[in-house]
Amino acid sequence: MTGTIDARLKQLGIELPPGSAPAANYVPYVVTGKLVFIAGQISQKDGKPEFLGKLGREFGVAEGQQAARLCALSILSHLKTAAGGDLDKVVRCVRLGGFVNATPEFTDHPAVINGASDMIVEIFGDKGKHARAAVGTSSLPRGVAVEIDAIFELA
Amino acid sequence: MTLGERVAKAGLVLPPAFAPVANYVGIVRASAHLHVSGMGPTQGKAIVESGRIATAADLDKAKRASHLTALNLLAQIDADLRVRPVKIFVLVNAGSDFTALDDAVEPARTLFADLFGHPGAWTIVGAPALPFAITTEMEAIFSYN
Repeated sequence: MTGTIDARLKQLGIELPPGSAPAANYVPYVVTGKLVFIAGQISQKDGKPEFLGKLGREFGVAEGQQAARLCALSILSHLKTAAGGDLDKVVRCVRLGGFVNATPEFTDHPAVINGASDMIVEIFGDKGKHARAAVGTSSLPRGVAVEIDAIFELA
Repeated sequence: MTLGERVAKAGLVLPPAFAPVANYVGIVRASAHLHVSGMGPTQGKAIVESGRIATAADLDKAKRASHLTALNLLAQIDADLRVRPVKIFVLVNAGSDFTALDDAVEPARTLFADLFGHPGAWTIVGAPALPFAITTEMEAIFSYN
């Protein structure tokens, strides 16, 4: 059975990456009550870190947005697993926390994280509208440009 | 198992609960969750690990700091509660080209995984500076019943 959100993903040409398997001391998400907390997802593709470098040095806003989209894809992949494979069980996106590996002078952090926020709203419509924080950091794990974590509500 | 039982079983001793230094509290219970304020690598009032992690040579300091900071998070929680970690947010006082942040916090994550069976959902970032120049800061949400 294909759900409404799955159909929407197909319509948008979005393919979710496989969720990384939980290791002994790493879990990608925790479900508590009706909320699912998704661990910080770094920009990666095919299991390898992607967009290694800083905004304001190696990368501009457009590339940062692509990195943010990669983070959002990983988030959605874990979300789907958390929802038992059915994204139609998502009641809403509650919050995104966006972290941008940036030079001290860089100030367009919100524009970078828009890459993820826009994608979530494209997919979920009004249910995708979320609270958000977008901040700069001095470094991120493995040197990636963007990391994003998330809270969703499930039915 | 209560937190106190888990800690005792692991043979750990928690540091004294850090007393907040301003107009905030160390922990708030709201609904089904505990929200623990940002803690650091302290022993009582004393800061044990401070300074920035710039190179691989500083990694051991980061590891000591993250482990002690994790213990300080737990020290805020009533030992009689049955808790499980939900969300952990870690800030590492890191130089702009230090990227081994996962390695820096590994002892803390392993501590939680060993104690609770899973570590919770973690977000790890580098910060250009932290209060009192502490090496690591962690805040957390736990569920409890």
